[in-house]
Order: sequence, then C-alpha cells, then structure tokens
Amino acid sequence: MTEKIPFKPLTRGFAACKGCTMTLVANAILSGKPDDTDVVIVIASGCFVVATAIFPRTAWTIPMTHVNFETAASVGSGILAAHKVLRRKGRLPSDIAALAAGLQRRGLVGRKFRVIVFAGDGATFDIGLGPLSGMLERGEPIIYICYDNNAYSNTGEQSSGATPFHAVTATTPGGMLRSEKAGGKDLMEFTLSHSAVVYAARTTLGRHNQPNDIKEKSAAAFAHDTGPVLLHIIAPCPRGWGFESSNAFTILDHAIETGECPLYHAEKVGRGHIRHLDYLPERYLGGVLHPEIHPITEFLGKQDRFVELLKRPDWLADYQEDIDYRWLGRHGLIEKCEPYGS
Amino acid sequence: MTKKKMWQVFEADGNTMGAAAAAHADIDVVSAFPITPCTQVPERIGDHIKRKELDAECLRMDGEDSAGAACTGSSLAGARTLDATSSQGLLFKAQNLYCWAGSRCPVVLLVATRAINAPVNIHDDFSDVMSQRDAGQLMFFAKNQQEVYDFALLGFKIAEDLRIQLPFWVCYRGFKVSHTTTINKILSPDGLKVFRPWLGVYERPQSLLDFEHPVVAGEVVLSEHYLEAKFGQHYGMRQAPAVIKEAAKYFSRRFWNVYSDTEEFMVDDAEYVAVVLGDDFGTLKVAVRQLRAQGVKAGAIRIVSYRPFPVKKLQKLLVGKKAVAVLDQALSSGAPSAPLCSDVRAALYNSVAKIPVRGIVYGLGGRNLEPEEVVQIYESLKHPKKWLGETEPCWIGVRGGSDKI
Repeated sequence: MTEKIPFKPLTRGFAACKGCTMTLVANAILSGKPDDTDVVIVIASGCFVVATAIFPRTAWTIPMTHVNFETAASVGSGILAAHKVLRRKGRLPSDIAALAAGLQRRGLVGRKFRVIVFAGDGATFDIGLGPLSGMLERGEPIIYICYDNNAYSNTGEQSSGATPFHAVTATTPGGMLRSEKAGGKDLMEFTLSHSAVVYAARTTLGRHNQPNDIKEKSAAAFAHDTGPVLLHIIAPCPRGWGFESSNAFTILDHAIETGECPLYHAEKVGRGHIRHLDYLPERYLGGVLHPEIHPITEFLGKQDRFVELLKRPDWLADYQEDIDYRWLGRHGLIEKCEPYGS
Repeated sequence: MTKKKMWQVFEADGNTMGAAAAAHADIDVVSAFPITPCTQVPERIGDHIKRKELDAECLRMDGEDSAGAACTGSSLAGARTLDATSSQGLLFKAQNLYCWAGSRCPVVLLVATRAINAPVNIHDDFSDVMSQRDAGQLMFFAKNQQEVYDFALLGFKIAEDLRIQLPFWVCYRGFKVSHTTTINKILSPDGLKVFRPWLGVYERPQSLLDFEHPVVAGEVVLSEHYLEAKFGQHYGMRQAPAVIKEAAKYFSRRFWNVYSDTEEFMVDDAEYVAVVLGDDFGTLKVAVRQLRAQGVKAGAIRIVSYRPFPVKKLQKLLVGKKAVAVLDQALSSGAPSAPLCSDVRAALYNSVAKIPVRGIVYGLGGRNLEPEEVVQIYESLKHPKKWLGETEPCWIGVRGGSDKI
C-alpha cells in the first residue's frame, strides 16, 4: 500500500512577510481536518491570496479559489450548493472517475465535504458583514475563519472595523480617537445572534497559555458539521502592528494574559448558545479585578502602533477600562460564559 | 409510426418562459434574490423544484452581489447555474459579472431590463445591460416570451461549449416581455428526450470539487500573464459566432426556427433602414408597412446577438442603403452616439460603403415608442443633410424637448 503522506495544505515557499501569523493560522486550522473530509478553500481578497497564489505559482495543495473582497461567504454557499446537488445527481468528479474506471458508482462513498472560508477582518467586520450574516442565517455548514490583524494590512494598514481604540493606522495617524470610533464591534456576539450557528470561537496561536487552543477549536469546527461555524482568530501583523518579526508569539501570549484576546467558545445547545471560557486570565480570577496583574501595557507596549496611546495616560486608562469592562462588566465574558472550569 | 411532436403549447409570460427553460435545461443551481421585474424567474423555478420537475438547489441569497458570487462558486464547482436580475440588481452584481467571464463561468443570466435609479423607475430600458456590456459575456436580446425560452436553452449549450466557457445573458424588456402573457411553444416530453442528450450535462474541465486534481481559481495574475489570460477569455468570444451558428442550426432543424444574429424585415430592397434591439422591432415593422404603402422603401433590422456583434452580417445587410437610423433605449451621456449606435457605426466605418447613420435615443424608463414617431424617423432619413451635423443622438418623444426629428 502507499505510504500515508502527511497532510500539508500549504507548501513551503509562499510569499507571506517574515513573522506573518496568517499562514500559521491556516496550517493550524487545516491540520485539524479529518482524513475523511475533502475541503475547498475560499479566500476573500487580502494578504492571503497575494501571499499564496500568484500565477503561475501556488502554495496550495488543495482546491482553492480567491474571490471578490466581500463575497467569500456567498461563494462558499454556491460551492456547497453545487456539491450537494452534484452528489445527489452522481456527477461529482469522483463519481465520474469511478464510473470511467468501471467501479461501483460513487467512488468516494462516505467522504465528507466542507467549505472553508478565510477572510480578514476588513472582509469580515466591514465589507463582507452582510454576506457573512446571510451565510450564517441560511445555516450552511461552512467553516468561516476570520484572521483578524486589526486593519487593512494588505493595502497598507488602514483602519478597519476591528481596529482597536487609539491605534495608529494609515488612516488614523494620530491614533484613533474616541470621536472617530465610538465603540467596538463584537464579531462573536454578532455571529451568535444567528441562531443557526452551531459553533463559534475566539482563538489564537498562544505559546505559553493554552498552546493547543487553536488545534482543539479546529477539531471542533470540523466536528460541528450541521451548521455554520465561525472562528475569530487574532493574527498579528508584524509590519502593521510594528513589532520585531520574531516576537509574534510573545505578543500573542501577552494578548491572552492581559485579556485583550479572550479565549472562549460557544456551542449550540437546544435552541440557544452556551458560552464556555477556555482560559481565565489571572487578572480576572474569581470574577474580580486584580489590577496589578498583567496590565494591558504588557500587550500594548510591545507594538509601535500604540505609540500615541502610550504617551497619553488618559488613553491608556481608557483602553484598560475597556478590556476590564469586556470581562467584568454587565453581560461581560465572566457573566455570559459558564463558570470557568465547570 | 407517427412523427412525434417535439413541442407543446404553453401560455406564459417572459419570466415563466425563462423558468421553464431552466427546468428543461435541467439546471443544478439557481441563485435567487428578488428584484422587479425579474422576480418571478426564481419563484417559478422554485415551483418546478417543488413539483419535482427539476432537481436543483435554489439558493436564497442575501443580496444581488451575494447572488452573483454564489453563481461564481457553483459554476466553478461544475454546476449548471442560472441567475436572473434587473436594473440595480445588475449594477450591484457588477463585479461578479467580470468574475464570471474572467473565471470562465458559463452562467446563464436572465435580465428583465429596467431603468436605473435615480429617479427610480421600474419600467424598461436598456440602461442596465448596456452599462455592463463590456463585462465579457455573450448577450442575446429577446423580442418576445418565446425567445426568452429559446435563448436561455441555447444559452447553456453555447456558454458551456468548451470553446467558449463564458457567461450568456438573455435580455428582455421588463414588464413588456417579462410580465405579458402570450401563447408559446415549449419542448414536449418527446422533444426533451431529443433535446437533453444534445445539451448534455455541464462537465467543467477543472472543477473545484475534483480533489484528485486540485485547482486554484481566481488567483493573482499580474502583468506577466494577465494579458494572456484576458486574451484567452476573449478568444472564447471570437469562437462564439461559429458555435452559435451550429447550435441554432441544430435547434432550428430539430425543433423550431431560432434567430442567431439578426432578424430583418424588408431590408433587401430597402433604401432606409432602422436598427433596434428587442421587441420594438414590432413597432418598426408597423411603421415599415405604413411607409411601404406610401411607396417609401423602408426596412428594419433587429440585432439579436449583441455580443458577439454581427459585424459582417450587418455590413452585408446595409451596404448600398441610403441612410440608417439606430434606435437606442439607453444613453451614453456626452458621447457621439448611444451604445447600439456606436457599435453599428463602428461596424460600418471600415466597410466599403459610407452610409450616413443617425442615432436616436428613445423610450428611457419605459415610454412607449409610437409607430408615428418611427415613421418620422424614416422620413428624416431621406434628408441626411439636415442631421449629418449632429454631434450626439437625437432624443425623441421628450415633452418640450428641443431635438427635431
């Protein structure tokens, strides 16, 4: 028999920047793909396609299509519909190949199929939010991955709907003011407002805390095959965030420890969603604030984009209060998630 | 043995005829988003699915842009795909239209044409389709409900031909064709037994669902290769006239007659000819008959296949004519001629004969074209000196308008 070749969706030699976490995210997610599942990748416009598929080269070893910026979720729906109907009609390429080889029809009986959408935060939080909502509402079992680097990085770091307060971007050179952005946008809660969603999670590639979080959530994404799945993944951009390319994991560890990037997931149980915390930062242990432990400066101080913020104690306090409120405030993470460790 | 009847009578409006064609072509995926006046197309297809006359997935999309994108996905995955739209919907879908052509997705798009906002108007003109005429698709203009069906059926055969692999649009006027009911022919069960094997199923050579031979679609193609990619796409269009001819010839021989490039009325001996798209050809015929009764040698041409444009045929038909009028129900503001007229002029410019061509703009937003107006247009062709100095089309039917026919 043939030797089993380890599954490697992205080959070496793609053109991502040094220290880019986007491709690491993709490989981490796709390594959770079960052997009995075939996938098609849909990529919204952004760094990912530019880094992995410039004709005549491609880093992909599995079918991939890049589509217009806002349409990734919709294209995913189209591919899924095509698969459904062609499987029913016995016209999938595998069926045709099996027929041609004189085998029983349906050469790939028992194979599962998933569409995986990769879209950045611009394509998800901003331009593609409507199509994403449509996909979630239709209840199609698509895995939607939002790799979030907090800005339009491919076009040169302009601010997006996911850009944090006070961050310096190309369109907010003095740091984004409160007057320019009145409040944040919570992709998880937006996703969970669609009752068809079967699984949604926030995760990232931490090294010290919960190093297997992304792998576990990838496995869970593939296991939940009855409806839409969304993973919101913080993927730092060394160039845009302004840090040494070797520091991505350090930054992510700080993001997890300070509570900037909460690790939690929600599953559909009955008609509603139940949220579970996967990591409780020490700062919020016991559901109370420990102000001296892991303040947000540990995360912010490592990045050039917060240079303006770090000059302004009032902005810093504002940012810290935001994070603390996200955890401890009314309907905050502590309140809406099941008791930690339960 | 008695000869089997290939067709049966079907009383229906244009949208229903389009949906019937979708069912008879055994489509795999239809992408639905409502917009007046094409809304009934996916509705009727839904009825076909409900009655189990058609096995297809009807995607309930969240917008025209998403509907267009879903078509890209399903076509890339090798499914026979149909979409329908009008007006704003076509504009909102616009970037997907280029995607279809560039990614070689033979989607058939039914367009019940309609004016564009602002001001908002649900009635017909060709502003919508003309605004997207360069997206890379084949475009057929139906003059009646029957042709919506005929062209949609032929559309799949032509678009999916491996020599072409481009989207195919069937354009018909909103309400005037989409919503009025006539008595038509559709394929009978015996007809379908002949038609379906001829049409075959869509087998995309490089399907996204072929996991044994993974493909990348829609990748970045920079200046080293973009020109070649676009030429490849354009080469499909160059092949189109021959493929259309083959398909129309077969269909006409086996079932009933279909037009494939132009339709003419009393053109052979005519001195003055008017050119138009779609069902206003009927109005032209009324005027031609009137003029012929008065001894004026008038004739009329309808462009059926707008893309590819029947350049040679038109040159042949119009050579030796004294003057030509081109009636556009669309506008290119500030340009020397409206879309159809610029194509006709361009087609004639390098031919042997120098023929005066007058551009007319009419009926934007669904204002009816009256036979009397057409008669006046023909009359004006007798005196080219009066209008040869015009630098832009003459608007007719405008209340208080200053343009003189």
